[in-house]
Amino acid sequence: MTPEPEELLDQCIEHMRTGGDPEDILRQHPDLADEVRPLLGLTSELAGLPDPRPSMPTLMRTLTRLALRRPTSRRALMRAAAVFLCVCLAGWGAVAASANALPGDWLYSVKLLTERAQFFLTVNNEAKAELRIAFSEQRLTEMVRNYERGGGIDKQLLREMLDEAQDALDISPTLPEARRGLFLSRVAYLSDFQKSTLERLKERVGEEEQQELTRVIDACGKRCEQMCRMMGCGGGAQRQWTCTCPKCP
Amino acid sequence: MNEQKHDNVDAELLRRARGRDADALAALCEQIYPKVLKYMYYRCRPDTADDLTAEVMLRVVRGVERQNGSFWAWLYRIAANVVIDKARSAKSRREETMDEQMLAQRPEVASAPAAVGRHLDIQDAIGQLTDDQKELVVLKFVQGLSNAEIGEATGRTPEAIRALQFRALAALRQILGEGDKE
Repeated sequence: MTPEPEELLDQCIEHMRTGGDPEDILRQHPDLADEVRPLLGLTSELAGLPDPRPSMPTLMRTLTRLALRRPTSRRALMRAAAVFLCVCLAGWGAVAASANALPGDWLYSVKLLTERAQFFLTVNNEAKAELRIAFSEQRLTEMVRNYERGGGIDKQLLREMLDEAQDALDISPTLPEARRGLFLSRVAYLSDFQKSTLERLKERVGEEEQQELTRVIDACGKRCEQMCRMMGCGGGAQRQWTCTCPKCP
Repeated sequence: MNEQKHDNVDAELLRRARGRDADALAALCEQIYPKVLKYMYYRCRPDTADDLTAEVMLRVVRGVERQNGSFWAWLYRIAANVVIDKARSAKSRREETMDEQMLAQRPEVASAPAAVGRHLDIQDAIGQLTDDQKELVVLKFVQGLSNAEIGEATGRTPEAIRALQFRALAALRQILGEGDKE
């Protein structure tokens, strides 16, 4: 008996949750498989959405409200709140908390210090350039997270994102010729990714922030094009490296 | 699939929390806080998730003495009510509705940068679902509840959950531009 697509989808989901392969079930219902299979892919993506982390000021406000809510149990709740805070801090860990910190968080300076230490402990130029790319990526991620937390568009983070990418490029002439092309293509890819992410953010913000984003989007676009020209992408001179820039063939 | 089945709340812990034992309340809060935060984060605007979670925690602490039956179902009923109250409150002030306010998803720092865009897409898409679809998607796939737990939390029959689940995922895919045009 052929099940309804709704039922088949549910069977597959339950099967996946117990570690099974949904194809075991879909194979028995080829007429419905094409309809159900894409939905299963989506369920995996939903299950993989990242866990949010509370901001420390909000957590403190919550604890205060919990502690003050009921005068009759204030003492017990105050103690519960204190224990809760300790458990949260210990459970998440200072290192992890620092890695997820955003500007304004008390651990953000720890994060920046860690980055600086990491950079100065790196002696190899190529590794330094890679770190600069990673920092640039990190600034974009922080900027998006900060926006989503209600912090608006952080111009400082945007500037640092561009500066880190430029610093990476400044190191590139010291790289061996054979490695330089690959590195430039990574910067091109990074610039294009940053541009497309900011273009999407731009649709959600006010006019003033749009202007700021436009400026940065243009800078990212120009950098990507510059990298591609340097590498001879888009029908230019043949080079010994292959560009990974999504705009290039 | 990322299995996120909720651990059962220890019966002894619950008993002590109901008796307002401070350590038990703290342990209970510590166990449920991340789950409630995640529910609010994907169900509502990311920038309101912390405050809505705080409200749920207050109601939990206030009401745990009278809690009975499935703890998770009870908890998510509270969370759903907080969302409804918030939406009503916003409506009464002629603010945007929760759906209209739905914005982008915060990416995990550890994620590859490319994942940021996909998370944003999915968060946007969840925000465009109907409220029933959104609740189902968050409870089932983001929070990892079973159909039985969802049924207990929402009062829906297994058949209704299956139908809603199918419609919600199809709608999500359509919004993401991956489904067939209807």
